[in-house]
Amino acid sequence: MEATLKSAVSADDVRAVAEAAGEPEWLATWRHDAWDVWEQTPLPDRVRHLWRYTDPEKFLIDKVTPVVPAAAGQAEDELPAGMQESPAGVGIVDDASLQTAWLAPEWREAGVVIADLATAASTHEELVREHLGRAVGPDAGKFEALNAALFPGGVFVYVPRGVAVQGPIHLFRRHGLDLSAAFPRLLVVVDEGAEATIIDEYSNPGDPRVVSNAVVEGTVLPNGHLNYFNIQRLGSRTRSHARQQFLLQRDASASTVNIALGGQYNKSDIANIQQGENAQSEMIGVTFGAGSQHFDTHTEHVHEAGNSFSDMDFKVVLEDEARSAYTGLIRIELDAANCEAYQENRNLLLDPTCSAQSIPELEILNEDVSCTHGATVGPIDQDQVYYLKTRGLPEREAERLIVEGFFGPALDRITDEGLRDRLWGLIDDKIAG
Amino acid sequence: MSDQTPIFEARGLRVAIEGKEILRGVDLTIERGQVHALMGRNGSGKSTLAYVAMGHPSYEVLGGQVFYNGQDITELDTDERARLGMFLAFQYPMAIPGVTVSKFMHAAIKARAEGGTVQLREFREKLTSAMDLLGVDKTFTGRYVNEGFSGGEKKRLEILQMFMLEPSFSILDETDSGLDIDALKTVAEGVNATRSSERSHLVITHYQRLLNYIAPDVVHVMMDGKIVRTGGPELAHQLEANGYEWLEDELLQPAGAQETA
Repeated sequence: MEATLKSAVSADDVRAVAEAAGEPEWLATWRHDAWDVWEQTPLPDRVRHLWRYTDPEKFLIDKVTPVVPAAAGQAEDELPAGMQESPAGVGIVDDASLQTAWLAPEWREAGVVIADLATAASTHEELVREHLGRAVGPDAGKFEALNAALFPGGVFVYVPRGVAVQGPIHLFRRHGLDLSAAFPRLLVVVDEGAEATIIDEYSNPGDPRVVSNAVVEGTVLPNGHLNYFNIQRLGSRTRSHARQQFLLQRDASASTVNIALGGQYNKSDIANIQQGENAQSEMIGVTFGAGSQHFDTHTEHVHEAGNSFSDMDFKVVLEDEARSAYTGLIRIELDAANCEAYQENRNLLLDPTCSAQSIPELEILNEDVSCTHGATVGPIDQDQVYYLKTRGLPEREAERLIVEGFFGPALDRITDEGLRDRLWGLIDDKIAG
Repeated sequence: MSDQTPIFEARGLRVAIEGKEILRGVDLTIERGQVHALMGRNGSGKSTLAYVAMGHPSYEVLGGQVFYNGQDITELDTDERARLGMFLAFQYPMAIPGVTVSKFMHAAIKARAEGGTVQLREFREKLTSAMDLLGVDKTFTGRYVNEGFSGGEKKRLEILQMFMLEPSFSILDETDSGLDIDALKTVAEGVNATRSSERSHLVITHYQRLLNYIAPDVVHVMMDGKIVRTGGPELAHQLEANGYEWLEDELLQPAGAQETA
């Protein structure tokens, strides 16, 4: 793995990234425009409520180095060794490059694509030009602009019209370079009537010092369906800024599950936008903070079209000195009649030293709506602990079972048994630690 | 330990909650293989005795001792008492959202098992036969523990646990449940089916009705934080016929004037 090392980021880095990726001129231009946005945009104002809980300076990369991709990924015929699950496709991004892009022959023949995004900008130019930056563009925010300017390769997933992919497409984003900046990017396009499940998993092998700035965006076209799982198990020395947004067109649906376990200092913005009539969104969050971890999560369900539906269920467990701030917005636009929107955020605190905040926000411009929201923050119920102890469970086991029950309904949605067991293993390790 | 050792014993037990003394010197001995009934009015301290016997952290032991099978357990943590072989069937058991009955049972059995391993097949067979015996629906095991359960279903789950965990000493707190006849029958069936020379029960009840279905070996009456009278099954009938006032009046009379119970 080659990496270019410099003391501070500049327009030269944008040029270097674009050249190394071997991407078409239009994308290089897009990057440079994004760089201009980055330069012209001030740091987020901490008076603004979305940055009240997190210091944007933590995500500046003056002291770390952006990584330039070595080589574009290649399709392989063999399923990568060591896969315990039976996926429909696998993409492995090591540091900056998509090293492996594998698809089961059935889906390759059906026209499904897993590709390096910069490469796809040539091979699937029309699709990429139409959808890149559509859900999360350079204008989405200062850090989003920086990702657009510097993302080294990125991953592009496309599911053609009417193709219902069976089994997950599993993406591994592994970033192991010390003192570096990571800019993972994913663009998903689920075409009309198509279906896909994507497992998008982030880790930092070797626990390096990393500032991660991730963008996940996508469009689900009419009648399409997307299951998206984001599994964040970044290292203990990683600061993570992550932006995720899917656009749901007419009769489209998305079910997203965000599982956040790792990272030291995390800010995530997660949104689904119901752009078309009868779009359906289900959003689940599972966050488990320990030690001195910081989680700042904002979710948005925006109903731009009528008869659309959203349901948000966000669960947080904290122990030690971990902190969580959750803000969740439901916005119903003026023209969007007859929508339903539900939101629930529950926080379970295992120690008196951790703290959680929960702030629901409603912006309802159309009165013809059915909308509820609820939030709870509280310690573990000692009566439950006592009940379990009377059955012989030691206190730690009792807490573990209660946490399992708290997260269970969300994790039970993961149909892949191997993945689910692995996630429970990670959660159990955290409780035991 | 000889077989003559009582399975459970409280000696001069004084207990307070939030600074208020609830048990004011309780002496209680339960022999192996016996079913004891503890009766008394609401607020007399019956449930407190149940909780403190299982080491509830909110209760403060001011004095006295608790023994299980001859071992002083006064300082033992709740889960240690359970693993020794004690069990408490709750009057109002807690819901554990998201945890299925099956998972919960497995965790409880595993906690008691030597080395912490349980043969899954053995466990399933045992659970199935216990459910058959209690007439519990098969879908029960997939439901979340006590969540949305009716009063009767909660009772059945408590008794199902008593079957599965095979405690040597079970305390059944049924203080107010005399109103629900089905619940009472479930509890009675559970006690009668697990009654043996190896297993002992303490059934706590406010009403005599429960004792129509369970024939206790010994009946105790608690008043104002003390056991004021101990006798045979006829004591329960006397209470049913004459009310607690009868006993209060008796207790107020000079010792020589008391009838023999």
